Amino acid sequence: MSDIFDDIDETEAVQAVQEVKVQTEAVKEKKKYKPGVGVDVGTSNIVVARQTEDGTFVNRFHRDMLYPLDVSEEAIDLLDRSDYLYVKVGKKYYIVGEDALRLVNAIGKGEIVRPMKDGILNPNLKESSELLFYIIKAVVGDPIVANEPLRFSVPANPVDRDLDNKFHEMVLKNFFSQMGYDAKPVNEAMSVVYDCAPMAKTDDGDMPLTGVGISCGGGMTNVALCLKGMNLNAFSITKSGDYIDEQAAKVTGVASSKIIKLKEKKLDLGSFDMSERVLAALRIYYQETINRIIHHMSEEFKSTDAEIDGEIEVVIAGGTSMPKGYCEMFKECLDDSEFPFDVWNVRHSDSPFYSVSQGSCIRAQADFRKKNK
Amino acid sequence: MADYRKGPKEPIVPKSGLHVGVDLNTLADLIAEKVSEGIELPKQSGIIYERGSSDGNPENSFDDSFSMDQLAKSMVVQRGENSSNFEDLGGVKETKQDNKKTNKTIDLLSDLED
Repeated sequence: MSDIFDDIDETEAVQAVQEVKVQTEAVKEKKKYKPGVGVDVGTSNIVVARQTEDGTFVNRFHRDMLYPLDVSEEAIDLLDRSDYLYVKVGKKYYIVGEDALRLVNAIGKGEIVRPMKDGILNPNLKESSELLFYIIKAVVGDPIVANEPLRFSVPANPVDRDLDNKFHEMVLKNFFSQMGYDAKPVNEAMSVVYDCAPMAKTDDGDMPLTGVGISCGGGMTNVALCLKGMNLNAFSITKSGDYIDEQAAKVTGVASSKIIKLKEKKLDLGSFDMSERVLAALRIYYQETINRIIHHMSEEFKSTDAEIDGEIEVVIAGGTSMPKGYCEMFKECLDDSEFPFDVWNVRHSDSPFYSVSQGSCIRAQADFRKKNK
Repeated sequence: MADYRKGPKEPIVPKSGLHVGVDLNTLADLIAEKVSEGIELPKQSGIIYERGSSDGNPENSFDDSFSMDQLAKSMVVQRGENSSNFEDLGGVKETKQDNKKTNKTIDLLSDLED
């Protein structure tokens, strides 16, 4: 999903974790949730959403990164003396979350491992399914009713790479089923649609849940065209936020970590300042990425042969869509393209980092209502 | 047969076409005979099976969902000997949403097929 968490200051992170612990306790005591849970299983983060009866979404998030330590007397001693959270798989301990980052910096050797890569289970990490299971179990928690509906987001297969997410989907379904949930996958971009509720304007009035949903993650951009909540066509593109950072780093010779900081603090896609070369490079690659998304949207949607009368709305979420002026740039590029539909509005999600988990939660609540009709 | 309990005295060199004194062709014939006794082979019916679709592209009609399902289940079975020292994880962020708008979406979706 988003890459916002990649650059959090360490002190801020510790404070945030402490606040979160207090908040989490409070949440446990007071909140009464509606049945139906949504899970956004992203490359960088896992986000779990539940909705309270007053309509508030409570999103629980965790960075899915780990630091491996071989089982040794030193390692056991270190773990005994600290409050690190870890998973033991085979002959290794894996420190989870923010502590993984702190430990790799403190020790100065080894590297962070991620159970997810490009939106699916990391095939290069033998223990990926095992590690992901422990993290998922601890973030999601137990069902609040028997066989509670759960929707987990999955990316659509990409148009620009040979990648099939079917196996990833089945592994996750098994995980959640083992935990006592009635689990089903939901397309990531459709979750954005359910959360943001785009509207088409037609001669007969407004048409709900009709338009385009886009989830701009670090590793992938997911797109879906929908009509009254039905998925007409969905696909993904593998060049997204990470690609922008990498390209900007390559052409300017500036480290990716610095590029990310500048992107989050200074980038304004509405102004084009050639005197600051990193910002200029970022702006150019943002525009290229947006044009690529629109190009594939046009190609894919033309082949769908779908006809939607009137003008549609485009809704956008995800960490890569965070720079100021993103939606305006998107609208400009759209106007200059041969996009097969008329668009009356391009709108940013009210909660871009949580749209996928919240939309998945809405879908799961609909499943619960359907089951109890 | 050589006694290997004390370890081979000479390095073992693979010999093509020969394995513990049995000719491979004879072995293959024996297996084929036994297999054919146990399996009823389809009789010729005159139906022509074409490879690939009419436009010449290969078409994979084999349903692999069963083996995928078994494989996905096997990923969970491994957990037996492993452990973690935590029960819950994660930070919390709350967002306010218009309850009426959400309910309207849920109403619409609960009438839809998957």
